[in-house]
Amino acid sequence: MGTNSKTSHQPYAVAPTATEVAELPAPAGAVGPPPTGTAAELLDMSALGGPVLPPDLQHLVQEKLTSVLEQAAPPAEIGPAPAKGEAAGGELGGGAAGADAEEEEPEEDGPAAEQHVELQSEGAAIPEAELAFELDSAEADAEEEDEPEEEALWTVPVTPPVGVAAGVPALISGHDLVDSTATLISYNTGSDEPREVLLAHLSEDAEGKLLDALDAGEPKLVPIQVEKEVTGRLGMDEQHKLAELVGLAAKGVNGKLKHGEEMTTKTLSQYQAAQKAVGAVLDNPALTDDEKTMAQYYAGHLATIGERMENPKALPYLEGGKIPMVTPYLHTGMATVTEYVPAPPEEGEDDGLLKATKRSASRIKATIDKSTGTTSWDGETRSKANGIEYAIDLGDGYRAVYRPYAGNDPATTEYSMRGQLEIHAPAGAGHGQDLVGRLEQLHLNNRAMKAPEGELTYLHANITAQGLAKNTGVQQALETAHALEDLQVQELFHERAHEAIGLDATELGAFAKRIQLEAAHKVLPKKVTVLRDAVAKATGFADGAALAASSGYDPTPSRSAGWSSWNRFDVTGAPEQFDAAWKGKSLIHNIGKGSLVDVFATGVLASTERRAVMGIGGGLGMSEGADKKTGGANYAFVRVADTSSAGKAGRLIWDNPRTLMQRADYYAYDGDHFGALNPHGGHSTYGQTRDPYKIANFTSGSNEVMLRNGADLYSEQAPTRAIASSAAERNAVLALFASRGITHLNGKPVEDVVIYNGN
Amino acid sequence: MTSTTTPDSWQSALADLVAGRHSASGDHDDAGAQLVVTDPDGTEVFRAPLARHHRIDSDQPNLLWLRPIVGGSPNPDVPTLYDYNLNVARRRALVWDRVEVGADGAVSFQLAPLGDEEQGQVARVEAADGEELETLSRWDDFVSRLSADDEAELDRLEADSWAGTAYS
Repeated sequence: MGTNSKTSHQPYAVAPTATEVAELPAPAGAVGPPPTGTAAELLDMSALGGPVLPPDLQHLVQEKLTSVLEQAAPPAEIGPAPAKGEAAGGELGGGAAGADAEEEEPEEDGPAAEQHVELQSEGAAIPEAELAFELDSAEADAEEEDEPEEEALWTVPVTPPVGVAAGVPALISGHDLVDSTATLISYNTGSDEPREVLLAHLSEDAEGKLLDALDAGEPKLVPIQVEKEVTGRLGMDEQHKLAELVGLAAKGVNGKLKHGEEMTTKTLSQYQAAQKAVGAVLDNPALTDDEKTMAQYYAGHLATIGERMENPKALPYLEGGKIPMVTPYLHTGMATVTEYVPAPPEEGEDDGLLKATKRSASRIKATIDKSTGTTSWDGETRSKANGIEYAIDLGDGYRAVYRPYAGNDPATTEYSMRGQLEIHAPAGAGHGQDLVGRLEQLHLNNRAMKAPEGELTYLHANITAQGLAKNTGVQQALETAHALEDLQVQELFHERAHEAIGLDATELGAFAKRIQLEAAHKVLPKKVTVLRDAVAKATGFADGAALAASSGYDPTPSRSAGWSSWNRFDVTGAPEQFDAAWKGKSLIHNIGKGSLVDVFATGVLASTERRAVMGIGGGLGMSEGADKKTGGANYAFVRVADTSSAGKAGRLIWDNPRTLMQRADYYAYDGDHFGALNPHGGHSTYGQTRDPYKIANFTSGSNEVMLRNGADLYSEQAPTRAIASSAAERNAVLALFASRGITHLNGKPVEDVVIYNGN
Repeated sequence: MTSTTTPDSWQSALADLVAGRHSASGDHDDAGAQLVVTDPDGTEVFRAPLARHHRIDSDQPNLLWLRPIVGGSPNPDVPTLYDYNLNVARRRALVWDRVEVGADGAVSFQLAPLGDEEQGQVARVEAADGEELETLSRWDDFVSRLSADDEAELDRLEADSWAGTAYS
């Protein structure tokens, strides 16, 4: 709704049902209790001169509105609730002043800002002529057009860079997506037509909206015959379990070779069983050429195993003595296979829903070029995962894949894949913005995040990071913020109720959704003001204005590889204090010897889950219980160490820990705490802290600092030292940098970053 | 930190368990160790088999590095074999205040309390059994398929993450 015209805003000045003033002790002003009327009561507007809906339409709107109210933030318990039937209402701002207040930038705090949330007490005395119903939708639409468009915090790229493994982040408004972030990856295909994909993690609360968009009933499938290239094991191999038996024999012998032990009876039996099975196949006179080749392949492996058994000391285990991996023999050939595809819709069958097919879960099977870090994928090949997913046709060549929370039991399926969403563009470049736009087809927010919402996210991140959630003032502000949105939803409904007349169920759903989105948008600056003021007071600032003016306050996100991160102002605002506390301390990550090139090829220290979508590593194979055991797949780990002794081979070292510790998304333990590392897992989290000053004093060598998603090694989060295991490894890393034109990491020459200590 | 037994005793008991030297069949592959962690109130919070390596930290003698085996999924080509994500099956640490060897050969560590904890957890390394022993066997299959260099890197128990490409 527009905010430029005081005249057109006057009808908005009062809510039609406001009957009393409610003074509240909210820190940034007063706000009335949210109306407690049910949807049915809110619809009973005849006494107010509002439009009277037919009973059946009232029922439908009631259903939709109830749904909207339930999906909105939980009702705040602020101030005394009005008696039933005494429907309370509130108006945000008063008359023209309120309208003006809405125009103010969130940064403008103080008395003017407080007007944003003051209630007016004109309820019963409201002349009918001033009721909000007077503003028809056309006028409202005109005002929408008048509203100055705020710039998005980040521009969604039209063409994501091809082959960049971590992808490019896109900040999306609202909380449908975890971290409000989607990642756009353009997979190299080896041709001039890359495959562009949007990857995101849906919040569990948003799943209902997405599923409502789908026609996921049992699809009508029709068989088609397809001539295609297939790769797999031969039936003869599977029937006689040759790969399994030969692999088992190798395992048994390797176990003895490694420790210099005698071969046991069991080892010998395993070898003989494999020998017998392969021999039986080779003796089969009806073998095809392919089957014969396969059996000879396994016979070759058995010969190697036999040689090692015969002369176990011929080669040291680490110098060629270990029996190489026995990979299954795979045959590739053309075959006619029957596939089932959804039948085309019959005439009159189109219900406006997206056709979705439920199938076994899978993941994009991308590959990484170790030397360049380029990620590639052909747009089709997928690896199996444990669970189910929906394959969704979005039309125009766009497809989506969604792995739902519902239907994937966290106890038995891969925990971290629940909620994962992929949207695939047709082959070729230039679909970045279209991919984000397609979120709307799935009933998800698709607007790029703008500054006010960014600041709200920043404040929430700081509340978590600085442990402010238990502060009374902050709690009240959070409740007030929730109430403001509820209030706005109800006000807008009263204004627009007449628009519901004549709408069918689908249109009513869209109507309710529009109201919810508009309410969230309208109330955002007020929520920011309320919350900023409370956070300011909780952290020792006079008010929100003082906090906003402070040097450390920067409510803009940082790009970090394919994701976003927000800073904490208690660190960015006190760099000297932080540096003093961390003097002589560094953060380290052990990557193991010989892995520097691999790490810098991708340019990120990535969490396990992030690595999976980059094409590094396959399925995680974790149930919810296993995820808790690992500490969570969404974090990368660093440790606090003394700077003086940190410089061991195979390490990334941050001698300027502030670059990581100013982030708002980490937690830490001064040691390993089993069964407590998943902060949302319902387990004890004893010893967990987000306080960078406590973390600076960690003493255990097993301390852990968990960074959400990971760290971008080519940004200001770059390590200050990377210790190579050999001169050759150092040279290889420097060659990689040279090939990419990288001369400095966070301002430091790469030759000074990559070090070989001679050990 | 205190030990109710000699360092040689608990360390050799631990090494024997992890290597499977207590195997009744005489083949070490048939036995191994599992880690069971309980909260101070006795609630079991963690149970997983242990990979066949451990390391006492050279800078902190009461810090023991281990690798509990978690995760795992069937190999796409040979479903009877399992693959493991080495960033999931990462190294973990026991920082202990007290250690003792039980009559059954299990090694119990009273872990150092963290943060505001009055008492730490208890970690018990014991003979693997049942489902944990089956998982250990699948892990051994997996390790046998790694290169000798990758296996050695796992054995070092130094890396916090796995940057290699094999089954990472």
